[in-house]
Parts: sequence; C-alpha cells; structure tokens
Amino acid sequence: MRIWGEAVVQLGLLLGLAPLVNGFIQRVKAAFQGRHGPSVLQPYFTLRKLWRRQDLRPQASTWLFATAPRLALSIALAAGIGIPLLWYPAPVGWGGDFIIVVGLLALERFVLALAALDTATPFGGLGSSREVTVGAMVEPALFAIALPWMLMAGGTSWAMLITASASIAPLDLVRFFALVAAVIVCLAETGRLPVDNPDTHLELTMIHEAMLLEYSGPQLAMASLAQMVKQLLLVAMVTDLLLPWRWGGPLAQVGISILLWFAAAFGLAVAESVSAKLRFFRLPAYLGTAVILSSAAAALQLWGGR
Amino acid sequence: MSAALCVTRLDAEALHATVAQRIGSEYRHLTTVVADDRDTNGGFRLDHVFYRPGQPGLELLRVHLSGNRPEIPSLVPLLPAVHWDEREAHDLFGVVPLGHPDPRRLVLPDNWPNELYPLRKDVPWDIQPPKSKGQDWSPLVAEGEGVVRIPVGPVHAGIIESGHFAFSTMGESVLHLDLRLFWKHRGIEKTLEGLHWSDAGTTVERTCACCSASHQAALAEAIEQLVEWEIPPRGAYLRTILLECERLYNHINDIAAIPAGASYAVASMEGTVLKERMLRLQGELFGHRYLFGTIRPGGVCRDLTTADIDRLRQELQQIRPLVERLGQRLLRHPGFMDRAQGTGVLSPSTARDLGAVGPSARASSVGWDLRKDRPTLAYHDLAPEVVTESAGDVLSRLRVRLREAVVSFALLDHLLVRLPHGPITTHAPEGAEEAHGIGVGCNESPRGANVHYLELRQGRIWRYRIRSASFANWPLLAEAVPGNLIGDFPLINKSFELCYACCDR
Repeated sequence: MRIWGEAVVQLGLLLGLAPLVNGFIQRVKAAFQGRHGPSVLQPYFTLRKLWRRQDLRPQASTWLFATAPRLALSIALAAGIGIPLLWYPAPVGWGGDFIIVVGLLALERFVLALAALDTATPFGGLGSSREVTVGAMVEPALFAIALPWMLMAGGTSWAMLITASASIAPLDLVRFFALVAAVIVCLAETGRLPVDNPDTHLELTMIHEAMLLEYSGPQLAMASLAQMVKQLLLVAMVTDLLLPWRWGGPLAQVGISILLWFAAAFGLAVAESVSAKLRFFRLPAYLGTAVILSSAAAALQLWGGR
Repeated sequence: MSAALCVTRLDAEALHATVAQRIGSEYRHLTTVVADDRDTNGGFRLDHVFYRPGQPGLELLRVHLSGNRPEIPSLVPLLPAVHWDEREAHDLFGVVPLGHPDPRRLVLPDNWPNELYPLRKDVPWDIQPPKSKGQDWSPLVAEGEGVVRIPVGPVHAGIIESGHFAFSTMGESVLHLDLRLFWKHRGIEKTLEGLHWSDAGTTVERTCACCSASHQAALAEAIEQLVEWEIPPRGAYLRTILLECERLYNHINDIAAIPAGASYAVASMEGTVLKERMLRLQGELFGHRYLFGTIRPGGVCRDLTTADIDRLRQELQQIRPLVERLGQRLLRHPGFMDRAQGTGVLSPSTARDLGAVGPSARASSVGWDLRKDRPTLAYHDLAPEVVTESAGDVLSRLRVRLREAVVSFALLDHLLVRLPHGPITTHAPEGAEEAHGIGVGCNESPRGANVHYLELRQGRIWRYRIRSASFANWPLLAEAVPGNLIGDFPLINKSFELCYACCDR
C-alpha cells in the first residue's frame, strides 16, 4: 500500500510541478533579456487554455497521430515513478533501474517522431528526422553520465548508483566531469539552446516544436505537458545522481530535492541565455563533448588510483 | 522638363545597343517605368532610368511602344537587374518582355483575369474583377530522388509579413529557393493617380513605415526637380538629419534582428531596447516615432530648437557606445560568429548583375551608395564614408550595418553642429500648382536606393512609380540561400532585412 501511495504522490508532484519549473525557466530567461516576462504560472494558464480549445487533425493523419500525445505523457509518467524522485528507493521496484528510464525516454521520443511523420507534412518529417538524429547522440550521452557510478557500484539500479555517488567526495573530479556532461545532455534532451530553441516561431529551425506543429487543443496540451514532465524528470535524475545528499526527516528531504530542482532549472536558463543556437551539423561535436567528459569520468573512476 | 533629367528617345531596336553602351561607361540602372500614354500618342512609354556616379543628373532611355498589346525584347540577358521590373510591367500594363527567362506572374494573384492590366488608364482604381481561372503560379523546384519540397508561408507561425518560400531541399541542405511575394498589394501607385501633387505625401509616406522619411524625401525631390524649386539650406540639413536618423534606427533594428535569427535572444533584446529609445526620441523631437509627416516639398515640416538639438546630440552620444558595445558582444560571441560566418554568401558578381542596393550590396564589395554617388541635400557638404565588406555573408552584412551606424552617428553630430540658420521651407515657384512633366527622386534609404518616378499633368499625378530598395533586393535572397542549411534561412533572411510593404505598394 505504501508503495502505491508514494507513487501517487510522486506522480502528482511531477504533474503539478513540471509546468512551474518551465515557467520558472522562462522567467529567468526573460530577466536575462531585460524583460519582465510572463508569470511563472503562465504554463498552467496556457495548458488550461489549450485544454478548452478545439482539436484539429491533419486529413492524412491516422490513430497514431491521435494517440501519440497521451502515449508520450503516459510514458513520461511511467518513467517518473521509476526514479526515486523524493524518496529512496523509487516507488516501483521494477523501474528502479537507470537503463529502463533512459529506454522509456527514448520510447517517448520514438512515439512523437512517428506521430510527426504521420501528419505527412514537410515540417513533421523535418522535425522527426532532426529529433531522431539528436536522439541518436543524446541517448548514449545520457547513458554515459551514469557510467562512473555504474562501474563503481557494479549495477544499474538507482539505489546502487546513488549510494555509489554519495560515497565519493562532493568536489571529486569525477562528479565535476559528469555534471558538465549532464548540463549538455539536459539542454539537448529538453529541446533547449544551443540545440533547439523552445521559444522560436521560425518553423524552419525547429526540432521538437516542428514535431508538434500540427497539434492543437488538448492534444497539444498533453504533448507540451509530456515535454515539461520529461524536463523535470531529467533535472531530478541529474540532481539525484550527482548531488545525492539529503538530510533530515522526510519533509526536509523533499524540500531539499525541490530546491535542487529549481537550482538546476536556474542553471539551465543561464546556460540557455548565453548561447546562440548551434548549426545543426555542429551538434555531434557538442554532444560528443558530453560523451567524452563522461568517459573521462568513468576512466578516472576505473584507473584513478582509488 | 527640368535639366536634371536627360531623356534619350530610342526605338526598340536601338535600345539594347544603347543600354550596353551605358553599362559599359559605368552608368547604373535605377529603375524601369512603364506609363500608359495611349490618350496622347497611342501607345505606352517605357523609361529605363540610369545614373552615373558623380553626376547629379539622371538619364531616361525612352522607348515608345505603340498599340494595345505592346511587345519588346527583354533586356534581362543584357541587364539582369530589370527582371522584376519587366515582370511587373507585364502584369500591370501588359507590356510583354519577349524572351524573358521567367515570364510567370509577379504581382497579380492567380485568380486575376488574364488580359486585365490594372495600371492601364481604362481600368478604374476600384475595379473588383470576378474571380477567374487566371494563371497557376507554380514554384520553380528542384527534382530528383531524395529532393523534398518544403513550402513555407504566406501564413507563418509568428507575426511575420506574408511571403511564400518554396524550398527544394536535400536532407538539411537547400538546393533551390523560389519566392512569391505581393500578397498584400495595396495599389498605392494607382490610388495616387489623379491626386494633386500636394496631396500625395500622406499616401507616399505610408509606403513603408521603416523607410518613410526616405520615401517622403524622394517624393519631395521629384516635385522639386520638376518645378525647379530650391530648398533652403536649413531645410536641406534637417531633411538629411531625418534621413540619417532613419538609417540609424533601422540599422540598430537590423543589428538586433540578426542574432534573433541565431536564437541569441539576449543580444537581440539589447538592440531592440536601443531601437525603441531612438523611436521615442524621434517621436519627441520630430513629432512621429516613424517620422511620418516630417518632410514636404520645399523643405521640412518642423524645425528643431536649440534645446532640441542639444537633446538629440546628448541622446545620440549616449546611444552610440551602447550600439558599439552590442556590436562587440556579437562579434565576440563564438556561437553567434560560427553561425554568421560563411552563411548566406552573395557573390559580388551576382550582387552587381541583379542590381543589389544598400548594405546587402556593400557587404558583397559593391560599394554603391547614392549619398556619395549622387549627393543631394547636405551630402554635398558632408559626404559620408562608403563602408564595404568583401565576404558577402551574414557577418559582412552585420558588419556593414555596424560600421555604417558609427558613420551615421558621426554624420548626425556634424549635421547638428553645422545646422545653418534660416527658414526651413520656401514657397513653391510660380506655376507649380499646374506643373507638367516628369521628376525622379532617389536617395539612399537604410536598405538602399529608393527611387520615385513622378509624372504630373496640370499638377495632378498621371503616373507614380516607387522602386523601393527591397524590391531590388528580394531576388538576391533566392541566390544567397541555396547551398546553406535550411535552418540557417531565417538568419540569412534577417541579414538582408527585406521589407514586404515596400514590395506591396
């Protein structure tokens, strides 16, 4: 019973906080641009507005297009109960494994890419081709971030990874390398600069947004919410994995986690504000940096004389 | 006919040889104008307007085309710059350019009836023709295995004007780009016909908000040239100040727009703030943020007091280092520089052939600038330095604007310091009310040469043609984009900063 209770709380928190984190990032970016920016609650208002709107579909599209947003949201949420968001270990034992979470995120990308192809529009094809290209580089990089801890722990479950991470010094070089790699991966995986621009209206430059271009109304709300949930998940994963210390009682631990999420979101907003978008064919070099840093961290861990 | 215009009458056979001779002796083509003269001499008049650097006068090479369905061998093989002029003349007057490489419609919508030429005198200005089959505009595309066509617009995801871009792409690379504009044609030239010249200003200045002063100055120059109207020195200086202020705020705007194309929002916002500061200053000192209603034939509408001049100089002195800082911020940003360098290259030969104007031409080492080549107003006394760059890429177009902004700051300061005393306007000379003839006004707007061709009969406008800088430069975009990544299109587009309204006139 306790597991189910925790899962429900975790899901609620994920759904409830994901738009807030997005609004917070938008607000920080606006501040960097010298603007007031919309309220941090704006994503909630936008979702509510979209929820009431009409749902239009391209004529050529099939059930795939129609079901993809709810599938994507479900997959993101499934991944969400598979990680120890607030309590260790994760609520669902089967999902308490890093590789499954990475796999679920890949599955979500796959579903949306298929749906974008299903629209039979040039932008859908453009978006899914780009998204899958980025995905092919992001997924190994995301996987590589956990590599040092996997080697140290000799396993891939969250509990083992977190214990391993907590066992080395806070300012260890391994952690530093992995953290830089994590920032690079998070920016790419959440569709942020310098990889993708979530705020652009320029169709030709879009990656993730190009896939969602044909969606409207509740469908668009769900697809956007899925992306926000995924963003919060990544932030939570990285803070769990790389900054694993929690003190005090359960409530204090939850508070620390949430504070860390917002700190990480602030970091993402800063990184985005100082960036211009990369040329598409420069992305391998950019994402390759993350893989190299993670590999360096793993090599340090293996042969670092520990 | 005033002395500033030299008309050479030719027959159609002699035209090619004469144009070739003019091009050979460094004449440059400004515009090509068709007018309906069937009431007086049973045909159409075709004027090719040329100027020669260093000479104040303009030359019109005039061909008389008789009959109701005139044809003339296309000049495009000899002078590619006239390709849009000829297509427009075909659409609006039915003057058929024989052998034009691209005879598709340019201006008229698909469902406009064939054989109905709206700028002919027998077609009323408010005609609403029944929708007809007309012609199907089909884009020029690349074909082959793996080539994907991406149509974009005329409705866009953002608040952008209406343009249709037909990309043929292979993967992420653009193989070919075809443009279609003129979605919101306003018929300004037609509505001007019949107005007295003194009533034309309100319409002409609305051709385009962002080069309104330039359009007003071109109208004023055309009238002044036609009736031999001298403007007082203070009026000439103030008009120059207006033109330079317009250049400055536009350049700041364009400098801010380019990083937006590379998603570098912080720099873009920084520039936008500076532009807004210029606009507010203009609103305060000249009475209109976009300088509407500031220039009139014979001078300018509003004088600057000593306090105004001090205020303007002070503000400009404050804004100048901020613009330079923004420039440095951009030129030192590795991510932005990587996007801008080598992107959207326009070769000097293409720029020259297609008649590129303004910063886009000067970034491809075509150093054409009417302020120096055909100085009017205060440019006689204070010829500005002509800034050129050679790479022809996005970065060059940015650099040209940055350097020209610095030049304009200095120029404005000189103008304000040396502003002569005296009246700002003079009365029209005798007989101006009933003036008869042709005047051509042209000046260097922020985007390049704006050319206005004015024909009056008894003081009323018979024919008005506006050849805007953007009209000349739009075709360049289709040349600069192929070979680049499709994701770089917005960046390239913003580096040209072309105006839709200037086409839809």
